[in-house]
Amino acid sequence: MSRLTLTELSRRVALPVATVTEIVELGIIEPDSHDPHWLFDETVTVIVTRAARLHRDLAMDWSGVALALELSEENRRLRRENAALRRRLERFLDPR
Amino acid sequence: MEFKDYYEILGVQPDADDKAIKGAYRKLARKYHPDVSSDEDAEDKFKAVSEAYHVLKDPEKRAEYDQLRRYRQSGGGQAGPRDWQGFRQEGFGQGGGGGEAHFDDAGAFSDFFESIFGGGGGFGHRAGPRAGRDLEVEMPLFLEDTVADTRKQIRVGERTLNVTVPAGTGDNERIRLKGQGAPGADGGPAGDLYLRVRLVPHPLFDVEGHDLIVTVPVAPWEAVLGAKVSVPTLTGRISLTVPADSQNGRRLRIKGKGLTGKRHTGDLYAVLKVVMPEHQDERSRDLWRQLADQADFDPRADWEKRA
Repeated sequence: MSRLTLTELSRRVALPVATVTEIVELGIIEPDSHDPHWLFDETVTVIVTRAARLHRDLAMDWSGVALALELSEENRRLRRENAALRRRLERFLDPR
Repeated sequence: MEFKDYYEILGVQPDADDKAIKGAYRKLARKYHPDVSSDEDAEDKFKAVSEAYHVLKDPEKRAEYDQLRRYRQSGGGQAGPRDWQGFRQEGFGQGGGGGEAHFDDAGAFSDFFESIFGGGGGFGHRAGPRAGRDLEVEMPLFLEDTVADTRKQIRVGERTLNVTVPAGTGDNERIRLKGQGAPGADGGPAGDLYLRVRLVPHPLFDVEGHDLIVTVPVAPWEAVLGAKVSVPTLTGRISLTVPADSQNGRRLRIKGKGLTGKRHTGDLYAVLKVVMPEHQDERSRDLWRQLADQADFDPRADWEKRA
């Protein structure tokens, strides 16, 4: 899988370099490597696109977007975990 | 075509001021934004809310819409030659949005919207070549399919794609299909498609990271005396030794029989579940009675001391 530089990533998601830099600094995405420049896994484009939609559609600033993404990911994880634990509990309570 | 009550969609009164409309939109947009909402119809609801706001925030569009709405309420909206669909001639015949309209694509508004305000009223229209959007869809994957490289077919919109899922692909991982995302505009390249793997709940195995858990029913005497039990794994059955004096819920590790990972392979945990027979004949009841008389065991000895 190939990696993207900051400029390439910015072009791919149609956002200014400064905006993508802010997105990285807020931890919305993380570079795979820092040395000597940032390099990103291509899969981050989906996350950046999602962040940009939230920024635009909900008129949120980028740190709000970071928080929203973090919480919704956490929410999703917890829902899945809850469903999995519920299944395990049912298995254990089921007499067969 | 269905008449859309934009006020009702936003949950505001028809005389609501801009501030109230904006507030209502913000609240609903947060609630239904497809990137954060877990609501199944989030995308449709978000589109509806966005469209309503797009019209009501704009004084000119709102005035035009209000006029139409009043006209319809005064009885003009009943079927007939002066149906509201004919209320405004311009904009008619503009094709509705494309088949795969997404909420941030131009032309994502409803046919109703297009019939009043015409086409091209989407969320922004940029000229020049534009790369297609990257799309992400969830791909259900059976646990059995993670053991070896697996060919899968996945339907995305009207297309059927063939994908090879590499062995060891785990939950939440993304598989990238280059150039299979949304088509570009004006000669721009197509976006990519990302498949986000969702492991399908298995009737027997639960997943914990790379480890699998299987709940194994055992008889009370098997738990006490020990036993050899045949246990399913993803790759065939194995014989499991239940040690004597096993408690209910005991976890027994079967090394290397979990999910194949890119870096390491997980283990399978057999969790013992002591199950009572559903019916006891008189002879077994007698045996239990003998046990009750002779066994020096109080399961509640420490129970209430914990309180």
